[in-house]
Amino acid sequence: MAELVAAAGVPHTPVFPALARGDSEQGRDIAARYAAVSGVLAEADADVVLVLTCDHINTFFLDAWPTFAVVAADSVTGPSDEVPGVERTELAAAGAVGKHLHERLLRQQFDPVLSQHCTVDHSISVPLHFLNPAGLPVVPVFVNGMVGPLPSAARCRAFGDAIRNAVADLPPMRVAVVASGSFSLEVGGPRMDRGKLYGIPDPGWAARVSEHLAAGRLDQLADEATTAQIERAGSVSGELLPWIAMAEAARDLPLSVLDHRPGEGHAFAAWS
Amino acid sequence: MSVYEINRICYLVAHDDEFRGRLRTDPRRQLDEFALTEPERAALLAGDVRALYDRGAHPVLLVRLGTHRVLGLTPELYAERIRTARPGNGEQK
Repeated sequence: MAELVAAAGVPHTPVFPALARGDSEQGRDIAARYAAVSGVLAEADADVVLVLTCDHINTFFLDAWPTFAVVAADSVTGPSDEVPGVERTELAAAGAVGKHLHERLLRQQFDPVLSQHCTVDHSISVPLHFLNPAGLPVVPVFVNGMVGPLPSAARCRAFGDAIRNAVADLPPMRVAVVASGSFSLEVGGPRMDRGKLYGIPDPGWAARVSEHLAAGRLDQLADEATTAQIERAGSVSGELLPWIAMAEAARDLPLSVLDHRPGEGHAFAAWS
Repeated sequence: MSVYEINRICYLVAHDDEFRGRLRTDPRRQLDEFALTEPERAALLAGDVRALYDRGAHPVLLVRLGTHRVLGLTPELYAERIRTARPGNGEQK
């Protein structure tokens, strides 16, 4: 029986890797915030990492858009989009674990798309850049937080619970679950800040999400994460949904890190 | 309504280098290959991202016209023009 040994959530902002490498106060700050989460994961000594996130219409397109998808391949290539300072490369993936996960999800009334070959975008490459220096094999898992209609928060919690059961059913190994994304973020739409290509329409919501996560209030979080609230929080704020699935999967783990600052649309968090 | 085609063009701009090149050199001819209505075609050629957003193009796709500098757009011009759209008008969000 496998053990879920750690969980984490981080933003996947494409400029962060280059920023963190640079010699600036802001860069050192970003690097330290990711390092706090990375340290918890390293301490947990996982064998495999499940990454729960939202594809930004790069891995998949609207010709066949999945609500949930699991990747079962021995490698994936990414990033397929622009991440300054991060070269497109082949990432080790845990194909057998992905296959097991897909099969066990089917037995629990979830029917995710199974991808056996794909590229991944910054939603996978940025968290791994910071959190997986050892190059542990990963299993990308996609939740639709991007193209309406989105799955409900309650459905994403149930998905997390099913992942938790599927992990428990794996052969003996140590598993970490990482979510990536923001709680309030506008990309490409009219609520971006003047002169910028992003905005944070609802920082109050991001703060509230962070408080609920810190306190383990998943019932309240799921109740409040309505379609209308997600819409108010920005064009990609459905990225909260994979966080909710991760938090449910890791519900037995105590909190180690919850780093959110007022005004931000995201948080850095770890449980182990 | 051919919002799907608008979204497909935005996707190709990011993922197909040859397509992006052709769209830069001869946008009119390139757009002829898509099933667009006349207003959609005109909005694309004018880089009118507000009109495209209001028709339901997905913002995460649409922004690529600006970041990849096609149809007369730049990231700065995109940011300026999209601000005049009404939030939530996009069909795909």
